[in-house]
Amino acid sequence: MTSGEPNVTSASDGKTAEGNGALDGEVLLDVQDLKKYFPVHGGVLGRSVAQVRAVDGVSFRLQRGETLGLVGESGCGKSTTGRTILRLIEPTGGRVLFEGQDLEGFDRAQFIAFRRSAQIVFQDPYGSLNPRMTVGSMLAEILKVHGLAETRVDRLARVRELLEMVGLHAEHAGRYPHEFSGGQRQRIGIARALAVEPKFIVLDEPVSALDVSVQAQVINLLRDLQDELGLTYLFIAHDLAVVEYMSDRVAVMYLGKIVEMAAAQELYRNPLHPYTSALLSAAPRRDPKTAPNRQRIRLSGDVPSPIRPPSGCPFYSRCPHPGKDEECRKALPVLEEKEPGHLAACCKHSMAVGGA
Amino acid sequence: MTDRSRLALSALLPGLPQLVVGRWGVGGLGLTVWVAFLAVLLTRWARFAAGWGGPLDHQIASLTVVAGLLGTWGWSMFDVSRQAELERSGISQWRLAAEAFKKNRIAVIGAVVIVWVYLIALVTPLIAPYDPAMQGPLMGRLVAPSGEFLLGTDHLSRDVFSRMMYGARISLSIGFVAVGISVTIGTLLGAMAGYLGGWIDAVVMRFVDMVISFPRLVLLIAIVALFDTQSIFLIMAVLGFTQWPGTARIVRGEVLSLREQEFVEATRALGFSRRRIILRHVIPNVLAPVIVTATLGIGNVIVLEAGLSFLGLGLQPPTPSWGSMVADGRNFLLNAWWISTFPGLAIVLTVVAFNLVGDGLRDALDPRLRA
Amino acid sequence: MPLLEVTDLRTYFTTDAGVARAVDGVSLQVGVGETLGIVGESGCGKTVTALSVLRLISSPPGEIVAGSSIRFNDEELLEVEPARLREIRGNEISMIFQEPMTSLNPVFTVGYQIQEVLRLHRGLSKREARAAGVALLAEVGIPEPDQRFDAYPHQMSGGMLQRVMIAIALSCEPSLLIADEPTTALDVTIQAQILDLLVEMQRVRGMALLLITHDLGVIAEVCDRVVVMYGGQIVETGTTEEILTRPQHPYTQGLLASLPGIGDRDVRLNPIPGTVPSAVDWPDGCRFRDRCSFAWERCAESAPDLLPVDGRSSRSARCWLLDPDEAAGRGAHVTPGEPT
Repeated sequence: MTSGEPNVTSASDGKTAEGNGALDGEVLLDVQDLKKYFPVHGGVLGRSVAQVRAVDGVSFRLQRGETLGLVGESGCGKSTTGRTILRLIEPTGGRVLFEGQDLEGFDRAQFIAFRRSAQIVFQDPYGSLNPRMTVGSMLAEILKVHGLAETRVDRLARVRELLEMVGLHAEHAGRYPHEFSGGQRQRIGIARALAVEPKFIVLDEPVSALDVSVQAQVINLLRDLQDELGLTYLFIAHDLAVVEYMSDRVAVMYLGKIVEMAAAQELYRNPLHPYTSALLSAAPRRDPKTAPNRQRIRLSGDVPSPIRPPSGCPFYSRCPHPGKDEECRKALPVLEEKEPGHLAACCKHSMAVGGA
Repeated sequence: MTDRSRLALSALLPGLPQLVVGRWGVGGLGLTVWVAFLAVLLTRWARFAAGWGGPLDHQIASLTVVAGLLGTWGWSMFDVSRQAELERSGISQWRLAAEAFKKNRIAVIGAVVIVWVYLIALVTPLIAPYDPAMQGPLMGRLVAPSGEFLLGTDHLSRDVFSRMMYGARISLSIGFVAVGISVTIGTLLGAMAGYLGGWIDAVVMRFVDMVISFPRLVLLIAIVALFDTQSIFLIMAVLGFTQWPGTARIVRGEVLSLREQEFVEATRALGFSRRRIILRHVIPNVLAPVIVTATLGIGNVIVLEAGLSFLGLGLQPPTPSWGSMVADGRNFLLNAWWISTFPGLAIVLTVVAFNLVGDGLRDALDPRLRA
Repeated sequence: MPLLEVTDLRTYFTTDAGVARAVDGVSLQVGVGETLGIVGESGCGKTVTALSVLRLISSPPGEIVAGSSIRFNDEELLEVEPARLREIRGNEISMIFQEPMTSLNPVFTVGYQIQEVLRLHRGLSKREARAAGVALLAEVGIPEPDQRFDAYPHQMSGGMLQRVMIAIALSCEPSLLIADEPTTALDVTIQAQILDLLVEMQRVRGMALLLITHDLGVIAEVCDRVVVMYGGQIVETGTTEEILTRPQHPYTQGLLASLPGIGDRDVRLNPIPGTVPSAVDWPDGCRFRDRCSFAWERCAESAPDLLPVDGRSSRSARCWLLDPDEAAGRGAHVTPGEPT
């Protein structure tokens, strides 16, 4: 595997193509059949009796400058996927190639370089900052540890620069996290991720915990930063509208697997997997004319537990597809290209979605 | 009032500029401490001068007076110059806790008591009216509290007041050092066990279980008997090395929950070393319960040491210790009650003060963290 | 006569930093069988309003200030005896909360908690209560209700627990159900199920619903009428359609403009700048003026009342722009402050 050379992928590349969108450029991140199973301990000796298959074979490729949205409900594994890619959690299987190189073989120096290139922004603005450090000292520490600014003066200047980049002021450097609002703390979290000058950022539900009016401010900021700095995002969220807005391509996850992946607008206009249709149908709409009367696709039952997923299609138990049958129950559907650039893991044709 | 005139005012009389702006507590404390040290210096000039050539604790006492005077001056001037900067800088969790603590009257009283007791203990060689070991003429035995002997004398004609002051030095220093040892060991081991997990956690916790299951007093007695000396260092060491498990458990618990917090995960994502994460990020956030435990622990150690001395296993006579003084006075409770009572009261007062401060700290530190 | 009539409600909290005027003059009505939505962001006072109706505000530090009135079925709730208040709670007015995981007592079974309410308010025997409880669980769509009756809260998912909460709330056939962000903590498909359930229950029982949420989409799906809250006050009222299609208050307009709808990828979001001010220190004049792109000097001089739109009292907004005389005197507008 040659390192560092731009890898131009074409749309006709491969049987299990990953639905690359309109962007045509270097593949920054290549996730191949990523798996993460958590052992469940039980019994007298506390042995591992079962496994939670949090991430169960996830594959996709990210091009430089692209935003891939990852949606799903709780327990689908989207957060775990993000953290496993960054190696905050050790994977159980699969490979992750960053800029063409397999993370598995990294020595310490390469790993530190990876940490600088790939960062994360967390969901909770309240737990994600050290309450005992001022914002300025937190950022300065990062600069110092990574040797990004040699002298104290340089560091102060860079800290000020980072704060202004996220819409805060230099005076904020001397303050403690509890003196800021939720939206401001989230901006600080973004500044922290930017401090190491990363190429790729995992955004793990970055606006879910914020008020409506503040969400929009942070979303705009993220988009502006992406344009300005050429960042690549993995945008994890459960709010479909926000994901569609931020992303070039979107992948839908269910029980640890990607069940559909396509360009954002395409996915929302033409969902091929029944789960995607149901998600879109369930999202509250703000159009009062259609809202109260529209036909909703109702999913019965709860989101199942990823401890013992069924052998056939994982969505079988709740699937509202009229053509659901024995084949669904027995065979595990493969994520494959149904239409150009649009992948889905369903063995039936797309459902007619009524009134969505 | 400009900064410069305020600085000049501090040079004249520390605490004054603070009083002028209405900061009674801080200003009052600074001023009274300074005045007290000055009074000691002036009234005990002879002893002060002689102290430099004398035994170690006299030197320390004299040094303390000098340090105290210079220190209060310096603090006052530093405080004046810092005010402007404080306005601008952020309000740390510590500051919030200090504000909350100050509102708790009783805890503040306890803190003031502790500060005074420590200061008096430090300068005791200069201000104690009599030599604590000096045994006077038979006429002076069992004299009731009077003008000449403030708290009376004991069965060997020794001044109870002076002995109490020297006894304070013993109790307080043992308390401080023993808890210092236990908190340091406990925090480090607890943090390592909590953060690193695995076999380190298992090993440390088994040690904790082992040490805790020893009955402490019995262990102390056994060790003292074993070493056949009763040096202060031995007692400090034994008390310190048997107290750390409590702190370790608390710290481990805090670290376990802290480890899952996202800001710790963020430091991992930033590639920080484990050492840096534990020392600079985890431990500062677990200090709150440690401080509370330490404060309450000092009270605990003082009582333990008093108990040891009462049983005769503490320091050798004639070194006065509150516990041994209480023991000495046992036989004279009816006719010379002052020999046991005053040291006993001193123990109670000091331990209660530590407990009040500990409780106040617990209240001040915890809710603030949720700001 | 409306079922619930709140007039000039003020709920204040005494804090170290001063008096927080969390609810500062709120008036609303809910008719029999109607659904009223209260929408707003955190800090606007919507939850405190809901808690005040049932007088669930802890008395230090909070207090419902004299002059407020809450009339339910023409009974003044702020003056009733404690015994009568307990009779009303859970019985004539019920409430469900946001976090189903923590709203139920973890050491009792789900069934026990349903039974408790039935036996207390309806005086049923244990057997009768169990039968009624199982029937309720079935009605709210819990599969195998007889077995689930004996399950503990930790054995059930968030969606299930919220259904249980609804079952408990409905058990005594209240005429008013107050729901405080009932679906915020749930997944979107489960949210849809719960909203459908609430609408269904309401239809079947002719119950009124006071729904508190920050999600305009939920309002659109469920509510007949809406009040928008900001800064402890109501800033706009109207039917759902009116509020969503023709918002009159700049805050409502801002809320609608600041979030993407599905299908709006290319429109740049227009967020409301600044942050919600602190309840201890509401700004003088109009509370929204620092963040409003239309504000002018009049807005700083005095706070507007709820002014009628189109001459109707049921449709109003708290903005000087609605008063033609004031709006005419408007000069250059002030652009608002810093980002959050």
